Amino acid sequence: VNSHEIHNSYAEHSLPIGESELSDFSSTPAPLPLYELDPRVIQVDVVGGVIFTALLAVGALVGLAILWVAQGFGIIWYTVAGCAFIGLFGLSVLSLTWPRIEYKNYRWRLDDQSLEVHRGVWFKHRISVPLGRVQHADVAQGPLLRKFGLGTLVINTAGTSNAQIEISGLAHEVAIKLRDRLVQQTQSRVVT
Amino acid sequence: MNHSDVAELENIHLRLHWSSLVFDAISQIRTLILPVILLLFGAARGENFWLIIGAASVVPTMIYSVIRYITLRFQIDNGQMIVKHGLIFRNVRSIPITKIQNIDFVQNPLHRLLGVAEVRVETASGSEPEATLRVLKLEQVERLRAEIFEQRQIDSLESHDIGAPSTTNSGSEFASEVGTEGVVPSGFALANIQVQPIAILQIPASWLFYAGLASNRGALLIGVLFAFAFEANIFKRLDFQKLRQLIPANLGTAMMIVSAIAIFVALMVLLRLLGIIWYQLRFHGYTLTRKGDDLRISCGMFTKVQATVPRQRIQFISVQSNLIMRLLGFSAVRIETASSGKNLEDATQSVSSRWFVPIVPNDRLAELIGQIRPGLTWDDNAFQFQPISSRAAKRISRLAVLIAIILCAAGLIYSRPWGALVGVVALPAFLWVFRKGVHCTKFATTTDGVVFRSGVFTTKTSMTFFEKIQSLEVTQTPFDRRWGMAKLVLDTAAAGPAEHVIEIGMLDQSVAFEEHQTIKRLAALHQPVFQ
Repeated sequence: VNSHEIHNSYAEHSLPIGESELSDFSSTPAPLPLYELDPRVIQVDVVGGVIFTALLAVGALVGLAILWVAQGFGIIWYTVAGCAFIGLFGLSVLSLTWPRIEYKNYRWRLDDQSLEVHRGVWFKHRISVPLGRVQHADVAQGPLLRKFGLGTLVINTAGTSNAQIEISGLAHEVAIKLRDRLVQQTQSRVVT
Repeated sequence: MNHSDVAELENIHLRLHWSSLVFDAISQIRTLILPVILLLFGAARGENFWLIIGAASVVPTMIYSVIRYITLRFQIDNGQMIVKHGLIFRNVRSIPITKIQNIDFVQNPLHRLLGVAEVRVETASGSEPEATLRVLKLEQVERLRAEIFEQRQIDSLESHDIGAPSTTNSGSEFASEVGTEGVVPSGFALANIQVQPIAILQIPASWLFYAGLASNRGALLIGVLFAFAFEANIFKRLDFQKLRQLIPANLGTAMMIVSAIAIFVALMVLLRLLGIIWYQLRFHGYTLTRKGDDLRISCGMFTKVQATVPRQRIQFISVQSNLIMRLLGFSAVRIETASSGKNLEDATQSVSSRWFVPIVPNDRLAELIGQIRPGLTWDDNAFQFQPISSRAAKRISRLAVLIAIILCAAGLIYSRPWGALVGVVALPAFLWVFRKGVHCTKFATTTDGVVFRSGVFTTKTSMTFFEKIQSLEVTQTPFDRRWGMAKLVLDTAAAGPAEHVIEIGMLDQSVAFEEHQTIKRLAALHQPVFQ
């Protein structure tokens, strides 16, 4: 439902990037709005989490079966089964709720100076890559993301500790547009 | 081949010196020291198994180096340096001379005996040298060097408009000039026109004496000795009973204590002495010169090193001094370049980044750094340092108390009730060091970049420049958020040999976000000219 809205707002700005000359230091332009990821990313992450949990559950069942063959029912079996059940239950609750929480804490923006990413639930990060520092940028798509029409923007800088910055869960066409904009910005700047 | 009558290097195929084989073998043995030792032991015992293993690991590389020696040819042709080697798979690498950043050379005593040197050609890409020529005759080295630098000077003169009356002001004009494509900061342009080498710094033996005195290098050497002793099983062979007999039996407690102190003092003196010797050997005759935009270091008593650093490539300048150096009024300057790699024990790389200026009196710092980066004034009073959060001392004190409590608990496990004393004694020390640490941490945003200072005992003041900042990040841990604080991290292409990163922790949240925006804006304004 939300995705349409986002697309519209994106279309209004056509590109949420200042096309003007770089503004000078003294005048502080009003910051552009921060964008959310494409809400479909919640579904992608939920599906991914559920698949992961299901695989673990199958693994746990196999393990329990082996344990039953080896030792039969007993204290050990019930303890292991209980732990596995609690773990899996917790994991499934988490994989159903966490994607939404993560989504709520994820924002990005591109203005005439930099690409900015805000993310993190417990550990919060605000990362900026000034324009012209992007060495190369890719759009990656896993099978799930592709199914939902989403993509991951991967930005590489010449840095060391933070050389790769990812925005996972953009609408694919937005990711492509962003990538092109970032790379174009770099190409126009590099002299030698 | 006879090169002596050839004036031009162009189109002439040069090859490695015959002693290359020897030096290749030496360097391989150095990296394969363990297998070689095993091999020798095994062979001595007549175990063929180890001999085969050893041969299997050594012979292929030996063959490779022989093939490399026989087939390697290099030339400078049409503005390209071309290195070819390989028998079955022909390997041709051409490096545009304009892209060559460094050409460094190392000469150890054996090299000097044979009149050769190891040459390393570096470009901006990656941390590995683009081509390592081990080893060349000295005259070839000189010719190669002359050729490369001449070509670069011509190129840089061509690329700047010499006629323009632009080059009066330096660095401070930076901001107004970016935005237009291809404009080189004026300080750099000015430097390119003066191609005469300028002596910037010479380090006399007396300064090296102080540097050695202040350094802990000796401890490192002792560590190496210990490692060797362990390898050779010396400790197992020592007869401690016999050693004991050496100590006079009728020694009183007082005498014991006095002699223990004497031994300790002697050891400390020895450590310092080793440090002094190391510095004297390594940096004997240190000179730093500038030719155009290239900073060149040459130093060394036995192993001579010459390294070049193009100053546009400097990402990071760090001025560091420990307690003793501060008392003596000296500092060391370290720099980081984009490709200063991880391999720090490489002689030229470690000299050109880790030990850029091993020691310099504080009153010559400003002048020196002005040469390293034109237009930069390095002045503690002009930096307008800002402290970190005023609540940081309180936060860190709580951490100190927490650690003390843990120590108490740990002590109690060992002995009750006196074990708890450990924590009680440690608390004031922790409190002092932590609070002092907070007090010593400060940062400043100048017209060129960001300055960050930290360190209680060893003070490190580092600066990176707006055009070198690749990305910046504000992070908040849950604890940070509880205190309304945040950490600001600047990422550059510098690889880290200066052992100081710009991570300003425990800032007030609002300050961190504000600085993030300011630095981001300035970084976008100062676009990198050289990539």
